[in-house]
Amino acid sequence: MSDLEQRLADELDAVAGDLRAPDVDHAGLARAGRRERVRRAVGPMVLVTATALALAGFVLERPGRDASSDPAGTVPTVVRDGALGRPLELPWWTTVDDQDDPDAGVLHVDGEQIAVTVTALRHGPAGTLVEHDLDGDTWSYVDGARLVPFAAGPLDAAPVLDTEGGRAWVSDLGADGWSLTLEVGGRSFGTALEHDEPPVVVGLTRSGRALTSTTAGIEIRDPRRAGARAVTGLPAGVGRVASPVPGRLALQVGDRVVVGDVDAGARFRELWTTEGDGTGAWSDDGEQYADLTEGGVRFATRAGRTVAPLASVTDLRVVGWESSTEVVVAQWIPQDEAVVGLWRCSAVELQCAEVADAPTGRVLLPGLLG
Amino acid sequence: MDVPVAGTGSYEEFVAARSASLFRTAYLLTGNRPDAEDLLQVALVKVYAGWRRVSKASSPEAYARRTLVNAFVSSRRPARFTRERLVHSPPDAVAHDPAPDDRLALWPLVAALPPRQRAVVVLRYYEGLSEREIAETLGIASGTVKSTASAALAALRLTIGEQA
Repeated sequence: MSDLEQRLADELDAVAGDLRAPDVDHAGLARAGRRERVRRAVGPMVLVTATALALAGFVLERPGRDASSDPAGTVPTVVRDGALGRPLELPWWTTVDDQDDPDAGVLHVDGEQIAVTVTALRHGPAGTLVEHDLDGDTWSYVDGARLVPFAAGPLDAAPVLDTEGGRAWVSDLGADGWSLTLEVGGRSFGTALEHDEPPVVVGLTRSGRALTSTTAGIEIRDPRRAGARAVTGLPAGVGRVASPVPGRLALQVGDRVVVGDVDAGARFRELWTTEGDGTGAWSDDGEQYADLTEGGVRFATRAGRTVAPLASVTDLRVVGWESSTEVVVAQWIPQDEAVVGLWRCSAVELQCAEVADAPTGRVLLPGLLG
Repeated sequence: MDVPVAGTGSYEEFVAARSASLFRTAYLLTGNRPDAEDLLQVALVKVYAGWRRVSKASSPEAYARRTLVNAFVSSRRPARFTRERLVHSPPDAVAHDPAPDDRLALWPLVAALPPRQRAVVVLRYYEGLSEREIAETLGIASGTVKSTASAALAALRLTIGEQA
């Protein structure tokens, strides 16, 4: 070791040796750790604390309709309607009263009840994905009354599953980094990944290749062929990334969501934009985006924006689309991991209704952030 | 809160035993107490999230250190003001931090190195890791560790020479 190296070792030792360790909130770290598991389920995004929505009124943007003709005070905000207020049809999980295992629970999905401890839940046209077991490492898809694991090893983030049966996920190989596995046509293909952080599979392209995202950018990867192609033409400052349908990306850029397709040459071509922070939900056909705005739930399409009023409710989260025209939103308290109310909002009727027999308390729903 | 697992004990026991040493590494990486507390908090949260796997690893501390260092190098940490402060110093702790000292001529220079060079220096000369261990920690090739270390030492020599 040279003189400089020895001095380095001595000085670093001297600096570190004088430090007094900080206090650590163990219970708080465990709470935050559970939320981290949920965060991993929804890809690379920044944790956002709940914010109360100021009810200063809302702006109705729809071709041919003047916002001033429909002030918030004259529009009924909640309707108790048999159809709109019917019980929840999306999958949900809640704990059961088990003194030996406070995390024991039941997953309610498609009329089935599955005893399992769930740490994250995703639902889409291809089915329901569940992160389960106490360490939150196992991802499975729901097949009737059973859970079918995606991979034998731990997954740092949610896999993706498309309606054609294509699947993709990233596995943690420990010191060897990460690997991407793509399953198409009943065959499995894998490739090692070299990144400083675990990539997240955002979706699949129309040709069945994987779209992966890191802080460095978005790539198209096909384990059947060597190498990766960086997606070009992306706007600067991309935050949250979603893939509403195969080959399509919805990118949060500041306070807007930019929607576009990735073509065969890995170029991003913008189709349309809307306001939003990227925490909303996409309809199954990828043409409607629902998120929260002042005073209600905003529905955005290429044609315009409409709002279903939901007044006097704070701490709201968009859970997801329950049908081609209806979205479920939850009043959720992240500190307690508790749902205290559920509403169903119609993009056609522009009304919201309380969901009948809504599960409350420590409940996990698709789309809730930790 | 204990997470009952087989193997090397509970998460709480791990944090109690290792958080001090991880904090020292975090301090050497970040150069200041508030950022070191943030970095340690991020790492400990991630360790909890993967605890069942971590506790069964041959060296949970190595896993935690790798998580800490990679969070530092990638600088992917949520803004401080949006999070609970779960790792924080008692009021009198700052008084015990290293005071400016003419004998610590290299420390400010290390703190000014780029993140990856700083990480390699801390892992090599404070943690005493080998090239291979540093490569595994950072997820890079051994050759890259060697070249990064050389670049860091060259930068320090140049700065010292300029100050002489």
